[in-house]
Amino acid sequence: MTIKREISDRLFTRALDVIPGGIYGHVAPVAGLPRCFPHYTQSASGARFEDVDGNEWIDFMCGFGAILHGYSNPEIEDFAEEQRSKGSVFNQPSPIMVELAESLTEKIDFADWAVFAKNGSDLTTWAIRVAREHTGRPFVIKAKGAYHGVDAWCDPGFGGRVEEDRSNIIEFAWNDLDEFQSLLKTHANQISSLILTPYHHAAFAPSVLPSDNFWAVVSKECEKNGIILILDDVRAGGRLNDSGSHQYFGFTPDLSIYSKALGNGFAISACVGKEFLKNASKEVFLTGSCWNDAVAMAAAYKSLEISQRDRVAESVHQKGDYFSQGIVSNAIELGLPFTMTGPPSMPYPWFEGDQNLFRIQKFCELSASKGLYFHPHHNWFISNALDYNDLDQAIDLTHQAMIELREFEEN
Amino acid sequence: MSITNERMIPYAAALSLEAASVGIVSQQNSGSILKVQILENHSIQLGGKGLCFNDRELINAVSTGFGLPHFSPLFFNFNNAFKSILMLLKIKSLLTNKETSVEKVFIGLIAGLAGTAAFANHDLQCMKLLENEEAGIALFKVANSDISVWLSFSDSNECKVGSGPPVQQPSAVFTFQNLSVASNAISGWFDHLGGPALGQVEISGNLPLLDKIGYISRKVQKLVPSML
Repeated sequence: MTIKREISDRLFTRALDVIPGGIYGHVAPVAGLPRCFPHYTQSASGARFEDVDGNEWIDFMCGFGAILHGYSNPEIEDFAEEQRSKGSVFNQPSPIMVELAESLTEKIDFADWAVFAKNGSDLTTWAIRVAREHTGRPFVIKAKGAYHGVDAWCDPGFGGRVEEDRSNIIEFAWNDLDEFQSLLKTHANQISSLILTPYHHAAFAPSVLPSDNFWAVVSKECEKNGIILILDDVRAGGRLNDSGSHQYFGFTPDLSIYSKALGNGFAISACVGKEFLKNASKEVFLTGSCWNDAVAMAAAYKSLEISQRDRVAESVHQKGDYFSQGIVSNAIELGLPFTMTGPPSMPYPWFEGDQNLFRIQKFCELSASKGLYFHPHHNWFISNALDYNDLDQAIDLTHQAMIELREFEEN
Repeated sequence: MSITNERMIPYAAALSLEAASVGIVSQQNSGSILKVQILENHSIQLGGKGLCFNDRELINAVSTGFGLPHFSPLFFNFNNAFKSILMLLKIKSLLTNKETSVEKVFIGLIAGLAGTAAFANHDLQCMKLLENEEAGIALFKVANSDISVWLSFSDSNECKVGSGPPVQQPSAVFTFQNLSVASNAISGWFDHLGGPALGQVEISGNLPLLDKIGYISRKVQKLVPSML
């Protein structure tokens, strides 16, 4: 397939005049394959999207995780539309806010309360403040290279920060429990919280699952030392377990944050917590003019309902497993040292020995020429809208891409 | 050697001049290399004894084309100083030439990367950015030309600038689409987010490394004056 890109380029050129960098953040073309991926999408349905030049793609990024039940899922769209017809943002919240909070506290075993915002960052930052309010301690522990949002204490960029932004943030290498325990000793009685993702899903690197005793040790140490355990389930929430990723790995956090898949593309995030943090949560100011957006809340409510009803986490796990096995089989047949890391529903592709990423970039470029939207630097996401025909088609196309990759490298 | 914050900018400017002179000598097989020596009392010597500026005058020299050197070393080592001044004039003439040429782009790139290396090695914020990087090479090329300039990072994070075929497989490659894009980039007219999206440059390999180098080079471009 020859990818057309005239309209994409024209739009991008216009954007450069009025938007710094044209497109910024994780969707900036420079972060992916700038001349292979389209810059703008026209429409999307199910597991496919069409860019502004009319190219159709089989999608394995799901709006970087925001879509779990497929683009334009009719059930969710209809439910959201019903709310939209009544209005979205008012002077007061709408009843759906209470219903959504009840739904979350019912579905998530440890959750006694819930609050809402728009982005993951809104609530990861708020959660560490709740932990500080509760404990009266300044320090926060996080894993090196983990992404928790765009705020100055954790963002992966370089600009606009001062030393003080991170002076109370300390880090350990994921799975390195010795380093973690040494931080507990050096900062005894000063650590308010530990914020972690359910597994290590850094960009530009293979995903790393927790070691066998990781969550057990971490949970025990947090409890022993009075440290609030915050689970940043923004990316993985809904994809590993319908009731939160802590269930998948068998531990219980004190606070957990969800966003991305929560609203299936509608902007919403939620933080749920245990009863003992309810008072502290009331002391940390939290608001946004559009944060009570009833349409997004309706979408989230329906999205959660579908997840439970259709056991979606299990379904995307199975589909991801099928897909990963298919690609890896192709690679083995062609003698390519390719693996999928991380959980099957959020696989991160990796060529052994490809630390500098040239090979994965070429593979994704060749896949893009066949209409497969594979990101070379970020974990992929399996949509529940992908059916097994889509997956078979994608597996066949990757076979061809791998043959071309081998030919390219031989030449 | 550690460079204090206040001397960082003249030091980076001086290293850019040295790299430019090395580039010119390698291309023309003649001329004097402006070897940098940091002296006490806020002075920098270029090309051995003779030409020596205080920090402020060196900044004047790179930003306006004229800076007043210290007189006594100049008089006592006039021949050497004269050769260094000739090289400075060559650099100025090359970089301020309105025509885009392979030589101008090559010298501009190597001078810019030398300033970047200076900050990578001595500026605290930049050192911290690179502290976890593994040894490797970031290669900068211009498509359809022989221009090949690189930054290498050792295990101890020391950053060096070089040109020609890199000594090992690069870990990241940055290719300007043509001389004109590269010339704009050395003059500060390049959108690092927009350029790759429109195909003005191709980037591949270890993009986080390129991202860091890019941030440092933009910081250098912002802080270190030049006539470009």
